[in-house]
Amino acid sequence: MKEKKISVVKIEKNEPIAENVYRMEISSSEIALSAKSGQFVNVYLNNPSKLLPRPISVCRASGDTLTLVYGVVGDGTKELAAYEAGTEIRISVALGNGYDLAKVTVGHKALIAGGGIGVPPMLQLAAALKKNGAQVTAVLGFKDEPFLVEELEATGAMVHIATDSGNAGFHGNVVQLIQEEQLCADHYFACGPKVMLKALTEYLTEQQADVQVSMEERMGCGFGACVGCVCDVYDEDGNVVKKKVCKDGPVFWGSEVVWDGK
Amino acid sequence: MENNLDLRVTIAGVEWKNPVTTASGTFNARESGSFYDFGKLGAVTTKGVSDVAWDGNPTPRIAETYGGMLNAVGLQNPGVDEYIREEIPFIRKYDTRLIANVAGHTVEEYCAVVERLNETDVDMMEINISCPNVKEGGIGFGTDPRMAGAVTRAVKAIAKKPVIIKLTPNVTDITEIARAVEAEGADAICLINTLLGMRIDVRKGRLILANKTGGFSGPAIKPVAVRMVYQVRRAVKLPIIGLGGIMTGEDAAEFFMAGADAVAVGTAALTNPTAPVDVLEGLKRYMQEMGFSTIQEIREAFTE
Repeated sequence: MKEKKISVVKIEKNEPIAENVYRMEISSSEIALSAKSGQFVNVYLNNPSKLLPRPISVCRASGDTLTLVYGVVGDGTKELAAYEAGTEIRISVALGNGYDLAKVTVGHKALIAGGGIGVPPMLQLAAALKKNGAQVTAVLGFKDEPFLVEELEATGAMVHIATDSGNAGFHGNVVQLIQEEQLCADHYFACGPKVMLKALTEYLTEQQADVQVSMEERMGCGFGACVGCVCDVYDEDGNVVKKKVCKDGPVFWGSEVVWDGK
Repeated sequence: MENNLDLRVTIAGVEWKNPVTTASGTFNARESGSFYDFGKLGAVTTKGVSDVAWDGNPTPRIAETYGGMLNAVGLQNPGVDEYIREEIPFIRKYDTRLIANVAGHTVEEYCAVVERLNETDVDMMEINISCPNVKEGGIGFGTDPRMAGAVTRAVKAIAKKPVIIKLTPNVTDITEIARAVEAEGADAICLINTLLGMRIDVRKGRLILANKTGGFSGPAIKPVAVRMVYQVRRAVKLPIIGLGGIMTGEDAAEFFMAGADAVAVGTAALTNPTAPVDVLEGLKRYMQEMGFSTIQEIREAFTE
């Protein structure tokens, strides 16, 4: 039954691409091959006083290179940002359910919405959707400084940008931009702040559409043992149940998630 | 037996092939089992099971500390029916002892679970009277020798499997609680559960855990756990399962020298999913280096 493991990998590159946003490249064919869009890896820090893994979304998995783009948001990511090329770290194989692309086929339109540090997973998602033959429109929202835009355009996606500050692209947020441009698609996917995911779900519900959203919660083990990282969702009978974001998620349907009070 | 090591231990009449088990709450048979073969362990201890499904606490439930962590999971579990249906048969396929940890808000709830588990083939039951996250009863039982004794007496009156009582360290005198549960017939004692801690986010000016406080575990608590095992060993005659911050085989040896008969590995598995078997292998290496063949020899190598 043993199928999952933690590997020691070497960091090939680790550089800032925006304020407090870093891009790390790791060479591991095993992990890169296993990674699907919407999944994450557990990154274990070298500092032994920091016990818990940092779950970081898969930005891109191509050939034998895994790319992670992460925000420096606390002590752990601050340490991660300081690791130089050549440093070895332990990371897990890709975990979580990932986005479900089973119903996406040739000629379908897909709209992917990324907000802030929710933008990185859109890269792997765009590539995967392209592979399924879909036409991809990416709507990205940033506070002020866009990043990963060129990489997303390189996948063939049509990219729209919104910034809170108005510094680039549309002055406003992702949902406003979607409404403004009247963007629509056969399939919707999103990753970003809860407030964005909730607003997007509400907007799309009015259009009788559903959206796959990537949820986030403070994790413990990051692989489904400790039951720390739960998210309230409705089950088939409409009862509220607590599902593990690391194992049952991080991707859920917007219609499943109990948005109120969370 | 390998390389003349005999790791077998007998806890309350149940023989384990080696003295390492998982700490309740840190092990999930399917998930942990996808990283390592838990059949290599002497026993596995499963997550606290209650008579009906418990939802647990609101999130955030997890916070990191220096060399440790806080958890306020609140014993979310699907209830004993699903445990019996799904977990027991899965684990029984492996050659390891199965210890079912039992949770409850009241003496009646503990007994209801024990009655259900009596009809199964779990090897032992571990009564969790010490979890600090449960608001009603949980903290009261473990911190009060009379209540700890009352739960033990009620459970022992009906249990058909050996009963381990898991103690909380959040007390003035752990030996008082240990003696109380021994007097009421406990077959073994397990300690320590988590300490009680808190974290504040100084950038947001808020508590990190939704529950405000959480159980503190990990390598930072080991000295408290070792001290308590040492004290309890000298207060009762019962077998002791020791836990609290074990990360390596040498940490396990420390607990044996303090007087434990078996050890459990918990938080280490969050940092390293294979920690329980790594501790077991580390223990074997330590024993070989020190020339010990049995766990008893580790204990006997300790002098006051």
